[in-house]
Amino acid sequence: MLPAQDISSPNYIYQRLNPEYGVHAHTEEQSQQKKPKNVFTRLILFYQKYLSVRDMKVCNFQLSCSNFGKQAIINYGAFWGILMINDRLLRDNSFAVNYYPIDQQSRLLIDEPLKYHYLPYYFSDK
Amino acid sequence: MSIFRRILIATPLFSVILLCSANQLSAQQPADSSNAYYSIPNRLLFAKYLYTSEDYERAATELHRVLQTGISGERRDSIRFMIGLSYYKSHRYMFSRDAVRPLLAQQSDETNYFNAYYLTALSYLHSQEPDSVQAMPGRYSQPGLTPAARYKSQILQGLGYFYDRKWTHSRDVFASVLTQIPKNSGLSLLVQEHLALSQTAMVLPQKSPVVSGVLSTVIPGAGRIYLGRTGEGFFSFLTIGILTYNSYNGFTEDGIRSIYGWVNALPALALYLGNVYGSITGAYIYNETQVQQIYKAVSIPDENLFIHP
Repeated sequence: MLPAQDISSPNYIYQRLNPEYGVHAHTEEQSQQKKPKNVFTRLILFYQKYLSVRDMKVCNFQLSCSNFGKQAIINYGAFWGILMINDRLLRDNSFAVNYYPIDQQSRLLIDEPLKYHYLPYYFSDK
Repeated sequence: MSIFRRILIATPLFSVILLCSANQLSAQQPADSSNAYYSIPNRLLFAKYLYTSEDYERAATELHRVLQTGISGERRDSIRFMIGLSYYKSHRYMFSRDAVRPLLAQQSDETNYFNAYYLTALSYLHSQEPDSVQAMPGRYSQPGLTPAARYKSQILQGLGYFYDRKWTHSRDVFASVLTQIPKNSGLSLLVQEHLALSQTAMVLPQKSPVVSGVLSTVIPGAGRIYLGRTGEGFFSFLTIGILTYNSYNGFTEDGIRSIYGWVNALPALALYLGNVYGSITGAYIYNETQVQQIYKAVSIPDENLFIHP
């Protein structure tokens, strides 16, 4: 048998719904190249540069909440991005271990903004 | 004599010697050796060697060269199909479809046509375009076909429906194919498996995004509990509840200008909206995860089940 197609990948799920959109930027550098920074991403960058570095790493997720928010705003705009950040902040608790896959290398939970694209897609121009 | 002058004299001498020796070597070889190396049978043999040693892309390139030499008729069609198969094996599905497209368009013989048809359908499945399989024009509904050609084409149509999540259609197709197909064959097992999965997919437990959203709007966290995420639901309820209670206290004590009230009210509102959003999205994710469980149970079938040798 041929190797099975990776239908479980988030890219596949997204492209099924919106093939024209293409593959999302996954890394931080790609996300930054995609669109110019706006006030919200600048606020997150400020937090990362001056506030977050003074504390130890506390986020349960592999893509930390601030990076998640930055990617969400860049990919989906400020409105949906801020909703996604708020949702993520509520999900970042000790119960999260039960609901997300664990990255074996970093021992953190895997969660990307791409997974939460349903409503932005639904309200966008199809 | 300086080194520079010696080099100036020596360079033409060396080139003359090299040219003479090359002429002598070429004179010793048979005159028609170059033609023999690049004859069509030799090229086909080389392509076959590359194909069997799983160097599929180079095999396709070699077959392209053969095609350029002006082969015509049925042999040309079979080479086209081999190019398509080589690209298919190297996971370049678009190239594979392009290679066999002329076979679908023209009136080629039945074997080549159906091989091209199967290859195109399988390529579409692999490149995650199952809806294109349904749109493919098929001869499978025409009378006078061999039963094998008919049911194989129908199976591929059924797979197109299956991967496009049209469970009812795929179940109907697989159920009708199962009556035509010889039992205990590889294809029969494949159809039975996909029929069972289509039936399972039709009764998958689904969560409504609307119900989840409404529940979260009325009681924060209730939507997540509805999705089976009890811990997250209670955490959301407590967080939003405590912030709302604090802001209520602040506003009742100092009125609308209470800083304490606003400091608690704004995060409470933001998290409340985020919670509603998360509950609606969570329902979609839940449903998608259920479907992915179905797809994980099977893979796209081997092309050897369909394509004639």
